[in-house]
Amino acid sequence: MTCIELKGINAAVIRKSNPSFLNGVPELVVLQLLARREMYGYEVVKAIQTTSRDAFSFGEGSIYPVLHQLEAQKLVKSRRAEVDGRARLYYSLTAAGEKRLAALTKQWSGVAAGVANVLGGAHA
Amino acid sequence: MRELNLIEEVRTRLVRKGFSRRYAGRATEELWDHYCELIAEVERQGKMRADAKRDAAARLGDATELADEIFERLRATSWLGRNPSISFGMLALMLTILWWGALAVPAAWACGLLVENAALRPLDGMLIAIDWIRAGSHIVPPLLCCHVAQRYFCGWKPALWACLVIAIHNGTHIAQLKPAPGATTVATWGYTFNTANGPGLLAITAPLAVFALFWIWNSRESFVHKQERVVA
Repeated sequence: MTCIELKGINAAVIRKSNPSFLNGVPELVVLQLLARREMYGYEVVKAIQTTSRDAFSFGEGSIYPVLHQLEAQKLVKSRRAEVDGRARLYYSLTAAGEKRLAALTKQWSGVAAGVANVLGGAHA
Repeated sequence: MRELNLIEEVRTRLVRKGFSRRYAGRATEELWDHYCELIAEVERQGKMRADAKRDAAARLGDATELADEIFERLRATSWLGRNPSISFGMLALMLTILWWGALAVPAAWACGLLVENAALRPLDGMLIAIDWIRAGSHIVPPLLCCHVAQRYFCGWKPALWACLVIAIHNGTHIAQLKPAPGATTVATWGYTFNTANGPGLLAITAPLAVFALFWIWNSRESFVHKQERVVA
């Protein structure tokens, strides 16, 4: 279903076994990037690849379902600009998006800490 | 031109799933812009344009998967989309009831049926009004259901379901006013499966025809022609 994969782990497989575990990752990543500055789709993909150091592997078009979903949920807003005869939509965070980002960040920090504890325990 | 085919296929698939032409056009415009950026990026790496186009199309992803993911993600953003059977069944009936309530009550008031000694008033005007309201109910509630399905990214199936509910309603619903002995008026309102004095084929087929026309109208025009001009 989702095209975003963690390197070596198929997120679609994880989703089936534990739906709430990694579902918010694409949203969290996109909201975090848009919180820094306004971006269009291609820029978001480049920013994900750069800041994550290519940790994610995904079809680049799959960023748009995420952006459109966030827009439908009023977490981001878009404005249209014409560049070289092509329509371009710039996305930025809304106030609701900032709240959602804070909630997702807190949630993800808890998951990451839990995973770190498990990994730490495995190595101990 | 695989790349144009890919973007056009996303548009076609979105429209077929029941998204508006406007939304499908917007999504394909964004994909097109992304595709052009990718070509420029690959060309900066020293590749030929033909190779750059092929790489760019491959990096965008698969049209079917893209359209499916857009549909699934957007459908999940509303209660209507998450519960289409219940929500659109209810919506169809509620819109029909609202349509009758919103028009029949003012019509009755305008015809003087809501005042004292109403039974003495002639029923002709109200009978004509009921015929018009009934005819409108064959078209307006189905049209609204199709619009809501499109507006909330629910797809065409819930819209068809709602139109079927309205068709069944039209086929079984009765609303009549009859003068009775003693200068009184008898209003009959309810449902019957008696086909002897049935509503006629039009009442049942009209909502389905509205559904068909709505989606045929939505799927007109092609994105490819517009983009081919840009490429040229």
